[in-house]
Amino acid sequence: MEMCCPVFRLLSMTTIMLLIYLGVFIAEAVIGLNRAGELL
Amino acid sequence: MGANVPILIRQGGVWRLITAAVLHINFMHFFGNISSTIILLSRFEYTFGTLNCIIIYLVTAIVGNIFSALCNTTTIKAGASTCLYGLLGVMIGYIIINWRGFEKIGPILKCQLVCLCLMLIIFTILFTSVGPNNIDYFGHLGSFLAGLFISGINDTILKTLC
Repeated sequence: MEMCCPVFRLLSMTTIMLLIYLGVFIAEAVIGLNRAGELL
Repeated sequence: MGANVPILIRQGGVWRLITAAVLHINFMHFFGNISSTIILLSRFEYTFGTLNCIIIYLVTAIVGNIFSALCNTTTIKAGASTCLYGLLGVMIGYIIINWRGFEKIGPILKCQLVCLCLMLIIFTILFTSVGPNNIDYFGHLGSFLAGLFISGINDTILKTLC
């Protein structure tokens, strides 16, 4: 499945990595583990 | 949660070498890394294929975090920038190795390519120099060197097979 950008595909490793980053970042923010980097 | 903490890695938490590459310290760190990931990784996946990208991503994350943990044992480190510097290393290694193959694109585009690479390197050095002091230079350097090494190995394997 191609979008407007020829090199970016929706079903790709790039999308999976972005979703992982986003999920982990939201988890960090919700749990509050990233405060002052103490429990990172 | 899985950051690169050298003491914990020495005590057996080797999984931190990979998990540190998906953690981010704050929103700006996160935003900078995801925007670079979209630009670099999508291009790499298009050019080199998904399997090669997974290998490059994992190897550069592990090598960068090992290098960082060995050189700076006191601070806690996290971020996908190790992988991104690895991708930059592979890209520059690929250009150096295949320099003769770029003849067909013409001198103007070749000059633009060199300028782009130089601009990328200079901008990266400047950006990390004037930024806050909590940037993990050793992780970046380690993964960049790992990327250069991977591009060399990849080229050797291809020449052996073909």
